[in-house]
Amino acid sequence: MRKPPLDPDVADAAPADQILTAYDERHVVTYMRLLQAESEGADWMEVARIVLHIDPVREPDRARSAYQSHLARAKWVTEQGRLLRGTGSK
Amino acid sequence: MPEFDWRSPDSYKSLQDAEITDIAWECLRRNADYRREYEVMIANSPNGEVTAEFRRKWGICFRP
Repeated sequence: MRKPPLDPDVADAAPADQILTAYDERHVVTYMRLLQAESEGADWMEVARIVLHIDPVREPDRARSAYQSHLARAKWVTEQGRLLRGTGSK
Repeated sequence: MPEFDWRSPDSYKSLQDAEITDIAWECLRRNADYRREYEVMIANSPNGEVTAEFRRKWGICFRP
C-alpha cells in the first residue's frame, strides 16, 4: 500500500466492488475517520462537511448518499480481514 | 483514542508509515459493529478467548 493521503476528496459514491480497490487504499484514512466519527456519535452533516468536503446544506442529497456509501464501504473493508488480503498491489 | 481526532487529518499522520496490519487494526477497532460483537462474544466465551467463528468473521488477530 502506498502512503495514503490524509484528507483526499471523495467520489459521490464509494466503490461497490467485491475486491479491495485502489480507491479503497487511497481512502483508508477517510474510512478510519468516518468509523471513528460514527463511534463517537458525531452528526453526519458535520462529518460530511469536514471529512468528505461536501456541504450538506448546499447539496443535501449528494452529501447524504456519499456519507452513507463511504461509511458502509468503510465497514466492508474492515470485515473479514479484507484490508489485510488487499489487492496484491504495493 | 485520544491521539486521533476525526476532525483533524493531521492526527492520522503516524498511520501513513504504518504497516498494513496496523492500519487494518486501526480501522477495525473503530468499527462499531465489531466492537459490539466483540463485547457480546467475549462475555459469552467459556474460556475468555476469541472464538473461531468470530475470528473467521472478522478475519484478523486481536489485541486488547
